[in-house]
Amino acid sequence: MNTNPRRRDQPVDHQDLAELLPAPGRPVLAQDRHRVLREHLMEHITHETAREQSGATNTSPATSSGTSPVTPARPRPRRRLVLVAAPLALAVVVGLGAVAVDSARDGKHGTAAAGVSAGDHLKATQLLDQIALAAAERPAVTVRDDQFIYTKSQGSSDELGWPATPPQDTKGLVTAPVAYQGTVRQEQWDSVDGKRDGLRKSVGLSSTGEPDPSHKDVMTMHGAGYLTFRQLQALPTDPDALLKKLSNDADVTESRRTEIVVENVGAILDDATLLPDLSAALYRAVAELPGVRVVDHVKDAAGREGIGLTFDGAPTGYTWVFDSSSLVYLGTTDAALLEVGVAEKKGEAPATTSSS
Amino acid sequence: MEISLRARVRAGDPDAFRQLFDEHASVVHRHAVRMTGDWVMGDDIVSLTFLEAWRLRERVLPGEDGLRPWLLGIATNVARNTGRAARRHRAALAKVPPPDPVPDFADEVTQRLADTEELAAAQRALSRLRRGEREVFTLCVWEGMDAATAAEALGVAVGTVRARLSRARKRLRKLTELELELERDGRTGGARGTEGGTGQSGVQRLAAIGQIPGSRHQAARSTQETKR
Repeated sequence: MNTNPRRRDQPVDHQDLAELLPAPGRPVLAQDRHRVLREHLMEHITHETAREQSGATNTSPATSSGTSPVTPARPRPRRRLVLVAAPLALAVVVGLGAVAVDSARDGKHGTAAAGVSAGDHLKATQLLDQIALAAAERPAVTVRDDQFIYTKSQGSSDELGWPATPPQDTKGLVTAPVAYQGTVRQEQWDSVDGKRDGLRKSVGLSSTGEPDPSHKDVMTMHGAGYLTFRQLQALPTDPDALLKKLSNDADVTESRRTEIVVENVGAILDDATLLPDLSAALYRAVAELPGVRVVDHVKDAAGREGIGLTFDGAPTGYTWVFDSSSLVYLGTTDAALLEVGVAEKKGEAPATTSSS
Repeated sequence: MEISLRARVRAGDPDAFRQLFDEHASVVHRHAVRMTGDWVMGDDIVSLTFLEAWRLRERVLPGEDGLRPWLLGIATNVARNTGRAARRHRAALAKVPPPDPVPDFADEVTQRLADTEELAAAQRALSRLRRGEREVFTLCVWEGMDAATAAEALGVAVGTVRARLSRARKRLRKLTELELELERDGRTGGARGTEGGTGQSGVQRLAAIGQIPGSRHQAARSTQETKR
């Protein structure tokens, strides 16, 4: 098996990917709309230019949320002292004590970030070490090929996808699903060996957190998702070997390595919580990367507060969140992991769970 | 000597923005509609993308390369957080009249209906992907960008783009057959689940071509309801 999602010697063939989805239509911007939208843009530009020339205060474009890798100099995030509760339940306690933490919600694509100071990195490494120890002590599960890995997640619809069963009109034609902007709770069953179809049930949550039946979706998941559970079990549990596998391209530039590894680890972290040795190795592998920072008092996507880790190059605000005392993985700021376990059948609650 | 379009954009030359709009508005619009499955939203994202481009113009690097990846990157960010972009450009956006409820030509209506069908099916499939995968998929597969260009547009590493494409591939495998099956069942009145449907669809179809002002539920417009 191979964790490299794509090897360099395989050309990217977009055609086969295109065939996986229905044609995306050929939306055309009508000429009159083109003209209207352009004239409004030009009006805005003329207006602003005139204002700038007349000596208005704001002479340069504001900064933030750009896509260009060139980020103008920005004030360094506020630095503050925070107390980190020394985790209980740890065989080896490395006192964390007072930790200097960047208020890292500032995020951005960290590519231009000056990076993480040696002190910050040390704290992150120590925290990861403790997380790895805690992870290694969790019970291992035994699974059969015919079982399913169950995960229950919660996050924004943008992150997890919409719970949208496409409406049909009176002729039975499928029409566009209604975009749903709220929070989604999602249960998923993935075949252990990847040989059976999986299942995903998702439902929108009302503002009070109740399932909203008008936004729900049940779908069969063809294919294995990312890596099957059996493939996860076959991954090396030596941190160095694992890190190599998770780095994709051998020639990846060092500055981008953290980002790629975090992307790949993020895709398997949920399921890996059932594999103590792999989890521990994942955290130890991440500890070897530059650009990792501790974020204190961060909330996962379900609003549970904990201690976090964020990374250079990660999307804005993206943080892994852990319970401050048990150091159990809670999920991320994008998607909280509410429950993970092994189910006999898809659609059924798991027999064994380790809820976080 | 001719000054490059990049340099002129960077310098804030209005004519350069006019040219930029003329050359790329249709592609930005297509990308926006495909990302969101929503025609009205598409118009707003076009406006917001170019307003953002104007705001961020000084970040354009010198060079001769086309600016399409830059614009599609901005459009992707705007689509990801339309609300924030709309708040930032509230005043400018409020001045843009909503699209004509009924397109001028019958041909256009027919075309839109056909496209809406396709968009709906694609949108349903796309909605199964996580955000990062969705963005990479639309840029690489539907807009034909290579991984390096998509990485530049999104401000992520090439390896990240490849990893997301790979996950998208696994997620979507066989989905087409599933969709076709579903559609066939639907058309023949087969035993589909009872969820969804409920009179919603006719409205949705019309909304997609902009005949129901009240259905303009999207964030981009909600900030300027008083205007209308």
